[in-house]
Parts: sequence; C-alpha cells; structure tokens
Amino acid sequence: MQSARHSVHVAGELRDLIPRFLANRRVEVEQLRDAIARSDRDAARRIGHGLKGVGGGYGFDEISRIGGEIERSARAGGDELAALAALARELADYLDGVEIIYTT
Amino acid sequence: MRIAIVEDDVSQADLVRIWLVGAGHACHTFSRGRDFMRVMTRDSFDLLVLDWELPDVNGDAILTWVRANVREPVPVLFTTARDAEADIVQALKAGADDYLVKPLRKQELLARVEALGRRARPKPRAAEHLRVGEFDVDVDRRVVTRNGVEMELTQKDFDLAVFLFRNVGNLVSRGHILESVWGRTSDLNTRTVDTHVSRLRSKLGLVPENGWKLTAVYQHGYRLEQVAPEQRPNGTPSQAA
Repeated sequence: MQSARHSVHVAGELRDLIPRFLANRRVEVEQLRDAIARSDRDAARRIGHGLKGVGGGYGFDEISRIGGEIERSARAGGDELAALAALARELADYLDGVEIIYTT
Repeated sequence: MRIAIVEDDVSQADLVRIWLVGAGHACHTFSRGRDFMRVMTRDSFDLLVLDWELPDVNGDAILTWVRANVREPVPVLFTTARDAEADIVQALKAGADDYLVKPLRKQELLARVEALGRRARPKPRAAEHLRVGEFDVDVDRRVVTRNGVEMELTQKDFDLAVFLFRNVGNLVSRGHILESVWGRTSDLNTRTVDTHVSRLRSKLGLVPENGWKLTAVYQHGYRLEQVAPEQRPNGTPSQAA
C-alpha cells in the first residue's frame, strides 16, 4: 500500500464538503488532460485559475500552488503542453496520495 | 445579513456558504451571473459576494449593472484569484466596496463581511436608541416610542419595525424581510409579511399625513420613506402620537 506523501489539516466543519471537493478536482484533472490534447491553452488556464483560487481555502495549499503553475504555463504560450501534462500528472498523484486530518 | 453569493465554482461556493452560514448569515448562491441579475430585479440583499470569472457574464459587468440598476447602495465584496494591482484597481473603480484575493481565508472573509455590513447599516449598540424621525427605538428594552408615547407592539411587530427603520429609503424584498425578521428556516410564506406590514402601518401610523410612506412595490417588496412636510396631504409636520 502506498503511503500518503502529503498530510493536510482540514477544519472539521468542512468534513462533509471534502468528498465533493476532491471529486471535482479529479474531474478537473481529466478536463485538463482533454484541454492539453486539444492544445486548448485557454481552457487549461481557466482550470489552473480555478484550482489556484479554491485549494487553499479548504487547506490544500498544494492544489493552489499546482493551479498557479498550470495558469502560468498555459499563459506562457510556446511549447508548454509538455509542462502542462506534467502538472496534470502531479495533481493526479497528489490527489491519490493526500491524507486528510480533520481538526476540530 | 442576507447575502447573495455569485460563484460558478461549486466547491468555492460551498466553502463561502458554510463559513457565512456558520457566522449566522442567510446565503443565496447563484452559479450564473444572468440568474443573479434576473433575481436582483425583484429581490434584495444586504451584501453581495461576487466572483470575477463567471461563465456567462463577468463579475465586473455584473457590478456595473448592479450600480446602474439597483437604487439601494448594497455593498459588494469582490472575490477572485486575480491578484494583480491593475485587477484590484479595476474592480474598485467599477464600484466594488472591497476585494479579496482567493484562496480565501475564513476569518478574513468574515471580518470583511462584518465591516461592510457595519458601514452600510450602522447598528446602535444594545444600550443605544435608534432614532428615526419622531420614533425612538430602544433596542435593548424592545420598546418603540413616538413623540415620547410608547407604542403597543408584539415581538414580531417590533422586529419588523426595527428592520424597516434600519432600511429607511431602501426597497427591501418580501423574502428579505421574511428571512431577517422570521429567520431562514421559517416555513411561513410572504403573505405573512404583507399582513404584518399592513398591521404595522396602522399601529405606527406610517402614512403620508404623519410624514411616512410605507409603500408596497409590485413584485418586489416594500419601501419605508419619510415624506417632506410640504409633500404631506395636510401640508403640516406630524403631530401624531
């Protein structure tokens, strides 16, 4: 069994929201991969922008960081699709490995 | 406060809602800007929390629309992941009262919401009186006097009077009144509001002859206004007690 690489402390009041929060982020990983496949940088930018804005509020600062990187890479233009693909993988790995500790 | 949250990201909307509801506010969430604008033509809120990037209408366009079409000076808190100085300036120039960069932080959001609410509708401290025209409202003792004479009001009459006196000149929707006076969980309908408003109008004499107008606005709600002496039917200031 793979051990969690990241532990995140989340306020107990958000416990009921977390399953939907994580499910939505997994959907966004797939949407990001689709956008990369279509070379749709604007769609990738919007996904990154949303991730950057939402992650930290729940306590997932790493999601905000990855989202910011996605937004920057998508804006940069040029041959950034490989970098975006790597960030999509990084986000998927993070979601698979994150351990949540609820605080009261 | 009764707060509208305009936010297309479900997780973001969930988060803001749970924080604000936990702090005692009543929240209404809109994922589309046009849905919000349609509701806003017949409803009212104490405060708006607006996201910038929405799928149908940008937040700054909504803000411009609100300032052009909503007479009441409802405070607007902009929330966005855009953190450039130019973005902040643009939102404030478009009419936002405050600006928060996402990711949001709970205590900061709540503090800014409270500050905006305080600025928009100053509340008297519990021991203080709310004075509006010839009315004096002792919030602590829950007593309303008119020219020194105590008015006979039920508990709900008093709560409704305080709400209306705090919103003099503002158009407030029936839903807004219902939630503010009876609470969000109330299973009453807006006819209850009509009945109580009518009764309060009689009890407090909120009629033009006494210098007041408590007007029903079609498909929206009510507005309590003071009438200038020269505009009163009898042309004289109120002497009623």
